Parts: sequence; structure tokens; C-alpha cells
Amino acid sequence: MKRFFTKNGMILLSAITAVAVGLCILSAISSGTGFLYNALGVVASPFRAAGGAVSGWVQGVTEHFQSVSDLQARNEELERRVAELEDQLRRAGADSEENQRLRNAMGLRQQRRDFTFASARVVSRSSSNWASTLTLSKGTAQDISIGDCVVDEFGYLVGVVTDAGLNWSTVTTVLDTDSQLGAMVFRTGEIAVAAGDLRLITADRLRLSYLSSESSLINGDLIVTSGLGGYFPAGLVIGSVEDILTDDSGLDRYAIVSPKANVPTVKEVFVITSFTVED
Amino acid sequence: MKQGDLFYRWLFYALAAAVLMAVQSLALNGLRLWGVHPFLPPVLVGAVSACEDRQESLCAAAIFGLACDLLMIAVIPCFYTLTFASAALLAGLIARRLMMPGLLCSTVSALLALLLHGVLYALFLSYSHIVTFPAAAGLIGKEILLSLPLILPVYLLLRPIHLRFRAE
Repeated sequence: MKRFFTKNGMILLSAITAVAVGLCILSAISSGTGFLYNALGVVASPFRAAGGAVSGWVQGVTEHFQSVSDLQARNEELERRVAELEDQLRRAGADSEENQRLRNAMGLRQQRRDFTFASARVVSRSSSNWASTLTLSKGTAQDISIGDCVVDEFGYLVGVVTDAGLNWSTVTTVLDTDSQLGAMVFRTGEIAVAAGDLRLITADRLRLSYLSSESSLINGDLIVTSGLGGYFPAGLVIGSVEDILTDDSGLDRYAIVSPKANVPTVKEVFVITSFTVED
Repeated sequence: MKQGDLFYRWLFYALAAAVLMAVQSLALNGLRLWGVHPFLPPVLVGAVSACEDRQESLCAAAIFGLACDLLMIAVIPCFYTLTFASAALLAGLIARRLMMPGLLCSTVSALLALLLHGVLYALFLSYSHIVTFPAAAGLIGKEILLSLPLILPVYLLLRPIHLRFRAE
């Protein structure tokens, strides 16, 4: 039987090499999702969906047996947070009315944020520890395209669509080393870049770089998308500042950002298929 | 050994690989320790290549790598084809020149496959991103620590297939 591989082994290897080189060339020259990836994604999608359902069920059973005391403590914490937020909401209502009056008085255009969403389920996650990607249950058939922002049910940014097939799409999350987003410090309006970092990917954190030397960033500052260039909508919450550090050269400052979206466990997401933001 | 045996042997290996990939995506991906989860594919390639014929396992590793490339996103196109084929070659060399095929040989092969996977990923990643040595080494180390113990169940799953269709 060794003869079979001695005779055909080289042919088999050559065929695999040809397919591999073909894939490399296709990937290099095509700007969107290649036909082969699209077709394979369509074929794999029912299996991914089934896998996702089983995995969700297992996770559900595990969560069911979570300690009651943990849940009680969490409930108390949430009740306290709701009270704080209700207080903030009351004050924000008054501020909003004042803002409206001033805008009218100055003849400024009304602020507007119109998003068109497509809901999707996370059917699988990247198996590699070196990347952070999600596969969604919807694709180009639901108007999802490459570059669309993906948020969770609270509107927190999860990532950006980087591959889209007929009934599937791949999201590169904010934690991935390939992720780079124009960001803004909500409190000060300072512009920076939020990007995934290999050192932080295992801690589920990202890096906020290109901070100015006069930056007045403090821990807890909210980081949102800047919307500069019009590629992504402005004002999507990325996360909050956890730590502010200086790099090894001692020249540049950067911040460690904890994403607001729970990327490792998110199950249901919303893809922003089109948007209009007027500030 | 008959022609049919070859077909069935690799069919059973393919089925075992499918089962292990299902375990990876259903269970292991959620099993995070130090922010890392075990990664089975290099372990599987190392285990198979350590006990099978070098040319056969090279082809099988390349096909498995190609399947992984089509289903998973990597740093460059065909990253897994390249990595797993190289890992199979290394494992073949170890099994032929350094030690007798068995659990120890499979463990060493799996360790080298995991190491090769991590080092190549970091190298390709460093082409387009800033990759510091401590960050890459830390991730490789954690991945090896978590994945290598899985060689035992993988070996126990693959061993009966190898014994059943062993080349005379």
C-alpha cells in the first residue's frame, strides 16, 4: 500500500499546493469575500448553527446551576445601579430640554442618529487564541456587508464585519489585533485610536493609542467611536479607560480600555447596515 | 495491507478529526484559563504524524490544514496548510530518527507542532503588527500548557485506528 502513496503522494501534494497557492492569489487579488469562502461558508452554516445551538444549551445548563448567593449579590448591585441611573436620567432630561431650547435659539440643526439594524446570532467563535472573531448567522442576503459595525443589545460596539457570505458573516471583534478604530474620549472630545493588542487579547482588553502629551484622560473615561471619515457611525460606545500607561520608550502614553460589550460571551448582536448621524 | 485498508484508515482518522474539531468548538473554546483556551488541531497533527507513514501523514496534514484554512481565519491565507505540513514533516523525522513511535513520541511531536504554530503565527503577525517577544512567548507558553495535556485523550482515540490498520 506504500506504493500507492509513493506513486500518487507527489500528485496529491502538488494538488494541495496548487489549491493553497490558488487561495493565496485569490485572497490577495479579491477585495471582498472570495467565491470559494462564500460557498464553503454557506455549506458550513447549518453545522455552525447546530453547533452554536448545542453550545448555547450547554452554557444555559451551566448558568442554571450558578450559585444563588452570587445572583443575589448581583441583583443588589444592579438595583443600586438602576437607582443611580434613574437619578442621572432625571438630570439628563432637564439638560436635554435646555439643550433643545439653546439649539432652537441659535438656529442649529437638530441632532439625529438613524441606524438600520439587522439582528443576528453568534453561531461560532474563533478557535484560535491569536484572533478574536465571531461568525454570525446572517449575511449579504440580509444587507450585511464588509465594514458594517456590530453592536450588542445595549448598543456597545462588538466589532466590524470583515467577511460576508450569502447567509453568514465574520466579525473581527474590537479585541482582535487587526481591529483599529477611530476613537474619541467622550468627556474631553480628544481623538485617539482604539486597537487590539496581542499583549491584551488574553485579558479581553484593547489599547487606546496616539494620545496627545497634554491628554487629561482619567480612569473610567468613556471611549466612543469618533466617526471621522464617515466610515463608522460616531458615538458608539467602545469601552472605558482602565489604566493609563507610558510605553517602553517613555515618550508615548496609551490607555488600556475595557470593552463595554462582553465579547467572549455575546450571543445576540445587531449589525448596523446603514446609518445617518447629524451632530 | 489492502487498498481498502488505506481508505478506511484515513476515513476513520478523518472522522476522529471531525469529532475532535466538534469538541474544540463546543467545549474547549469556552474553557478559558489565563485568557486562553486549549487548541487541538496541532496536537492532532502531531499525534497522527508521529505514528503514521511520513508521506501519508504529510498529505493528510496538508489536507487538514487546508480545511482549517477554509474554516478558520488566520494571519495569512493557507497558514494552517503550511504549518501543519511542516509539523508533520518534523514529527515524521522524530519518529524515524529519534524515538520509537508511541505516546512519548506523539507528545514531543504535538509539542513541536504547537510551538511551530505559535512561532509562525507570531512571525507572520509581526510583519503587519507590533508583536513584542514577551507577549508572543506568553501566549505560546499558555497555549502549550493548556493544549499539551490533551495529547493523552487524543492518543487514546487515535491509537485503536492505528493498531487496527497497522501496515504489516
